[in-house]
Amino acid sequence: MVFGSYLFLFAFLPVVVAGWWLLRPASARIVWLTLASYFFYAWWDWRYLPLLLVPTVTDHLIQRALATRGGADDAPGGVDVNAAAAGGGAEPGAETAAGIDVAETTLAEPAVKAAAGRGSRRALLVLSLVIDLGLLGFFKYAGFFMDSLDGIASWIGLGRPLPVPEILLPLGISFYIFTTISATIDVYRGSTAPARTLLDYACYVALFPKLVSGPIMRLSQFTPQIRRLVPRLTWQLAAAGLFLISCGLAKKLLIADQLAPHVDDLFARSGGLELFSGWAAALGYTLQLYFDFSGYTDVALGVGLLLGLRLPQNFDSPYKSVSIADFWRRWHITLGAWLRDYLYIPLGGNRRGAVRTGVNLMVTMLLGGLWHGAGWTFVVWGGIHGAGLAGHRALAKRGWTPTWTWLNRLLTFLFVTAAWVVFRAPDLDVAGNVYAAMLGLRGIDSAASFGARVGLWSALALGALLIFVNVAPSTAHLQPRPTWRWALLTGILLGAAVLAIAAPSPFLYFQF
Amino acid sequence: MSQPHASDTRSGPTGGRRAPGVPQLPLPQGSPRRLGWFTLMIAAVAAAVVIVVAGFNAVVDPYGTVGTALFPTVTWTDRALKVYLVNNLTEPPDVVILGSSRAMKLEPEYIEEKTGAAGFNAAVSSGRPIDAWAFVNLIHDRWPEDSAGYLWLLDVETFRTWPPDPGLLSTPRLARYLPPDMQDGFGLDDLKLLVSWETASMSLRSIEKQLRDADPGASTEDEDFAADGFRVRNYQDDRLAAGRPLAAGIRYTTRQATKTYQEGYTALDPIARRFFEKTVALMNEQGATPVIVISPQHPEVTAAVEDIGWGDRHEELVAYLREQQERHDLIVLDYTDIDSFGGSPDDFFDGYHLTVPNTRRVVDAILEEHPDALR
Repeated sequence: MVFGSYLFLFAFLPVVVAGWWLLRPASARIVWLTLASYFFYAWWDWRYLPLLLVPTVTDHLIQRALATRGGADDAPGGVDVNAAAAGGGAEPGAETAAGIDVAETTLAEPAVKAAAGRGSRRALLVLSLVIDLGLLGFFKYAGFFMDSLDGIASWIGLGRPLPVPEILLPLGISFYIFTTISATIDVYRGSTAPARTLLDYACYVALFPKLVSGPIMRLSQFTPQIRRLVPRLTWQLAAAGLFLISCGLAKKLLIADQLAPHVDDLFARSGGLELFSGWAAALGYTLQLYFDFSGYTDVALGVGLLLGLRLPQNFDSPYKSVSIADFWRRWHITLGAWLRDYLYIPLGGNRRGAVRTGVNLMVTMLLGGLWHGAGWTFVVWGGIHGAGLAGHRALAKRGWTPTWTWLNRLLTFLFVTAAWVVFRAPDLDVAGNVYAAMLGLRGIDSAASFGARVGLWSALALGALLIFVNVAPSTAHLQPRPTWRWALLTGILLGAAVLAIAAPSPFLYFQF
Repeated sequence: MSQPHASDTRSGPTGGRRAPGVPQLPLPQGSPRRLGWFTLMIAAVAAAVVIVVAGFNAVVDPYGTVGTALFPTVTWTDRALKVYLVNNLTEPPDVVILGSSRAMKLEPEYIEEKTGAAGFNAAVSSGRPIDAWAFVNLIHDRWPEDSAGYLWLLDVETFRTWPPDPGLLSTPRLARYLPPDMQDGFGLDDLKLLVSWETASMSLRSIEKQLRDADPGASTEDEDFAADGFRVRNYQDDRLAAGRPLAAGIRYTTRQATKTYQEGYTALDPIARRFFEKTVALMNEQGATPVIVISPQHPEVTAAVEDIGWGDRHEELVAYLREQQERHDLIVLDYTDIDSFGGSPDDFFDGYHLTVPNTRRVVDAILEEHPDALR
């Protein structure tokens, strides 16, 4: 069930929202939401429900065990469930007023304070990670690794001895596994308390607005909301929710889905691309992916608001970024934060010298790339971003980065756009074709050939969208005003999006 | 752009140190009453946009699912097209030609030339008695006060057991004459089809086509039907022009016919018979005496299938029609054998389909036997 479908918008969502607000008491509402989320997931393929249930149950038990072994109570400053999750405080990665990174100090503290149970707590954490990463590894990466090993064997003349399993990738596995890993590590670190009940935790992991494509919500963001449920649906929540859903559907159905066939066609004919059509392919995908994924996020946030729940924002005008680091603060924000808090900082972050920082950045982004998909194109994409982060960091330390904001923005945008090519390409050959075209190595399109490949209207639309993403405010910062003009514009967007539902396509991030 | 992000180079892969607390989205501010109005207005405007576009699509009806028939459909089904052509007729036809693709080359213009009676060719591909029933009703409802004459070419295979043609079921203006259990009805899928930009763009194409073509008969997708329903050009014309020998067409038809009888066409279908009888009865009620012609067939095809079932079915059909003559007022002519109407074996597209010279011979023969039958 995708957000941009009649079934979701006119059947599932109204029923779930109505049930949520009508039910009393709170526990019944949580049961309702959890069951609805499982139904949402099972609609895709019910046979994969156990895959969602296993990490939910095991991680909750492990988190409870971690808490009883002194973890939560020994957290810095103590952890009151509500206070810890309130959104500031001493969480890893939080920035103090003085700008001092407290994350690096909090990392060590739980281990010191909970010395007595340290061994068993660590064993529990490892057990959780083995289960979670084992599931993710098997279902997402087994085929890729076997295929790669098989390729190496073939390359050294051993033929193709290995069976390559064909495993259907369970929808959203990368997201819910990362969700549950973050919760376990946070409990281990003592920065949050475990969910009060298995039901609460199941609701947290399976929460349907963010289940299959994020945002990756922290347990500390969820717990206080579920403990103090909004008692009734206010007009303010309804207006904000409807506004975000309208924006999201418009982004997805009116922009991303309209770009998709053109982009698909250009990548499918990558061998025939020349300079301008090569750039059109790259820019087209850059815009398609943004409007697709940020559109999904807007709908997710809007649906959350209709339930009285606030999900974390995932986008903040990423194509206005002035550096790669800035880009990762604005693009898929919750994944970036996850990689930072659970990978980069544990690797040592930036505390062990310039070289080690560069290595940490590269490792983090290579794994971040692999998270997106089991393929070498994603690894290369991660590597490009890792190199970009490390390179920019080194240049900036020497003061060699441009001082003009507009130039930083342009260079960052070009870098990100170029990187998306390998992210989109089905293989490295296709990516090579597009890069060659973008560099002018395949010649320059004549007006006629550009017209045939891209078309004047498509080119103009691309130009308009490029201006739009550089000028328009982020949806996250938009505060709709209850005026005629806003109502009219939002209503037209929503109506126009509904009329584009007829042939919906899945959101791009479903595949990750 | 938000400058606070601009210069943080000391950070990790995501740079900043944003706290992962409960996010603060800017919510609209205002009194509950104002926000309620705002929410409902968004929903109302969205609903209005959807209703306007869906209404436009319903009126133009580019796929022919609603049945307004005000504009030509963009999808080509000869049934929808002929409904549209009937709708465009300014005068009621004096003679209506019914039948399958084998009757499509019968020229209303030639009949008018010979008799002075204006005609309309309502024959459709794979036309069966149920199609004839729908068209006779359609024309009657269009001109309830007038009575037309009918020339109906029946093939022996017309009475084979077949489900109604999908083109008939998907043409609401015809499908409404079918029994309820046979109708598709206007379902959720049809509604979804209306609520769509894609359909709106087809609606615009439909209107554009209407405006572009002064001659409604030329406003079909492939522009090969005349306003009186005569099929001016078809793929067989193209094949003939490309030099395809008649022998190849006959071989193809013979294979098809052989398959039909080998698959077990062992009796005239009772439903087809029921619709045939209902249709003839309706014609009689309108004061018409239909001319029923058993379609001509190339002698080579007849020879090939005569002993594998065709002969028996042909006999059964003739007997059935004779029996109907005792109950209804109808003229029956068996022109299966081309000698019966002075046809030429060379004036076929294949084993079944007559070229114009042969269809003219059919008309000539009818008028010779029954001079007043087509007036």
